[in-house]
Amino acid sequence: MINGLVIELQSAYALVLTDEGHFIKVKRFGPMIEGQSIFLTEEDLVMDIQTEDGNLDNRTSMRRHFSPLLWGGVLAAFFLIVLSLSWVTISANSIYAAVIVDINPSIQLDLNKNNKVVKLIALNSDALALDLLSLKGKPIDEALEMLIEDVGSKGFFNKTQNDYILITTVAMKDQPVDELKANLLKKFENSDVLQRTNMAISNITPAQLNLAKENKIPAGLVGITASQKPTSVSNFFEAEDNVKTFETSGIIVKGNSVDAVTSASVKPVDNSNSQSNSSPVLSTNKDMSEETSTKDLQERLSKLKSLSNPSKTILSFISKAETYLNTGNGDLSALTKESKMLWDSVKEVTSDGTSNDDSADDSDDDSSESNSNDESTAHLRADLAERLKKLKSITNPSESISNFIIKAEAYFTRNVGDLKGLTEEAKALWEKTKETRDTDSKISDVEDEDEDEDKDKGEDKQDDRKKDEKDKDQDDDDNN
Amino acid sequence: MIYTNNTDKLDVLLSKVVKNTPSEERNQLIKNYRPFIAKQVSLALGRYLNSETEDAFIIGMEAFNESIDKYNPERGSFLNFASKVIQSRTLDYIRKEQRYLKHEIPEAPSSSTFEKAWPSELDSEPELFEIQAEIQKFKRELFHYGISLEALIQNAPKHKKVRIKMIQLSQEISGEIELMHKIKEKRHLPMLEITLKFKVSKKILKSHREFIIACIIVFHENLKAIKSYLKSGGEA
Repeated sequence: MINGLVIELQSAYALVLTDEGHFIKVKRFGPMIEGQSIFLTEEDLVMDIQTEDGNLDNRTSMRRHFSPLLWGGVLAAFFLIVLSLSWVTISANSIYAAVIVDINPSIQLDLNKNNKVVKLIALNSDALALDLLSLKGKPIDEALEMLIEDVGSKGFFNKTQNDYILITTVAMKDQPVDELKANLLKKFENSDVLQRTNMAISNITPAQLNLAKENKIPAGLVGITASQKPTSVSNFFEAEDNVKTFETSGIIVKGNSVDAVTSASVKPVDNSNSQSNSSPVLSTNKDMSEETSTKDLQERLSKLKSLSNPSKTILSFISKAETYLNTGNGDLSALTKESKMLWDSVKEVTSDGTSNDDSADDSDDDSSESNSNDESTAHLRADLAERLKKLKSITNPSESISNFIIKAEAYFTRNVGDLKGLTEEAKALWEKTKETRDTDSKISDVEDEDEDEDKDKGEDKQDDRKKDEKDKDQDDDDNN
Repeated sequence: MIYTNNTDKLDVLLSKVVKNTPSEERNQLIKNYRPFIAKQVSLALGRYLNSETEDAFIIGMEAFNESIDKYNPERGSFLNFASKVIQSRTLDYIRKEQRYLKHEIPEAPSSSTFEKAWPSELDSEPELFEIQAEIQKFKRELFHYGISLEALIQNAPKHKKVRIKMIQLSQEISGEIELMHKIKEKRHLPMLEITLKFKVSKKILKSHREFIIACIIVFHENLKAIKSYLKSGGEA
């Protein structure tokens, strides 16, 4: 028998100093307190002290502690982990939206919630020739760019032709796809590959998608044509009327393929007229300046047409220009000038960057002629664009500013929102930020001006800015 | 489990014991089976035995003695039989004690019947608080040296001889004032000095570092209660 002193009590065992000078663990049994001396038998030991070979033998205690309840808990935890993991993978791979690309090869790209491609479906035999596997797991904008490049390199789609790429978004779970669309539009602006092509974007429901698949028509055109069954995208968009009908429900983004083509002196493309009207031989024989201005006119016309809400002046100009291009009636130089003026009045919005100082002057002249309403909206838009640029240049924008930037960009890309309200908000925000960085404002403003001059932004903008600054200075004075 | 492992020996011993007559063999048998008896009594009491339950243990030994006389080999193993006898006798004793205590001190309604039957250490052992204070001090000192009780148990010498040697060494070290000063300051053992002075190997110092420090604490702080446990081991 061992006499022991209880030194510490723990939930499963007690630490005991035996009268042989040994520190041991014994099982808890009955009421025990620290400092108590107890008589122990070897059965009570958690660790066998008497084994002369010094082996530790506390297996019995281990077995005792692993109760069935504990095993049940371990099992339950394991199942919980497995279930949650599978749920995560399922939810991550579930199809949230789909994008159907119709060129000639038609491909359906299924997206998950993070707009990443999880599944690719070739909708016709041409699509099988494409390298679809490499697109899996890519974000949709990246995948689209790669896809169109691939299509171009395989020769399905001639970049020099004024073909259309029909992009159709399908919300698989009744959620809005605005974000996806905005995402795609942004990509079109930034990507060189996508800039060279024309895009037609629309949105359909999953039911319409099924209908389109059954009738073997391009998905984006399912809700548009009632009279005749469209067979391919290029056939559909050959007719000018069809482009217009499409525009009522979808978005048309014209690429600047014409620019690229002209600079490379390849066959110029007339998108509003039949192809036979201008042959390459004919155009090279013509006077270069006239040809350039015709092309200029065409280019501007297509740009003006792509505007989502054209004013009356623009619409009347479009009809005038089209009659000229179709029949040859009218004054080319006058039309070109008019188109320039009109385009310049809206160029800030599209931020095309092709304009120059002369055109800015022109726009000043023509503003008196044009409709006063148009002038004011155009001016407001320009003002807003300017303010937006300023706000964007702020290094660490506050939450309200970044929110406003998103709003304003949404206005420019999709033309939704109140222009006046936005302008006022911009004004307020800018003045607020101005106040906060009062001390270093002068230096930074000077720098801003320098940059502006470098960029050749046009005199009117600088005037605006100076005016703004004056206002602000006055405000500051008032505050002081 | 000495007593269950060699049942042959038990049978031999039992056969030697003549029923109802005291003998050397009988005393030897009872002495050998003290742990067994203690276990049975403690099971009946529902707690570990201590110095306060000496009476119950004596009852248990008497019951064991009784079971030797009453044992009938045809009715199963002796130990099963003895266990039943010891436990029932112990329980009888508890009931009797309870009745007796109730009768003796009728005005003690506050304390529970259990405490009456088994007077707790608080009542009988006035030194319990002292012991507890000592233990607290011991643990605190160990903590200062960065030694957990768990580590102490793991690294305490398993062999009795080594243990005795280490306890003696610790006592000697605690007597050296200069060395103790160093240890208390640096909170670790100066290996080289100790190996030179006390002619012990570095290996043994290293492997039982925790135990040696614990013993030094006990001797140096003069923790009497704990020291008595170490000393009895050292002297044995």
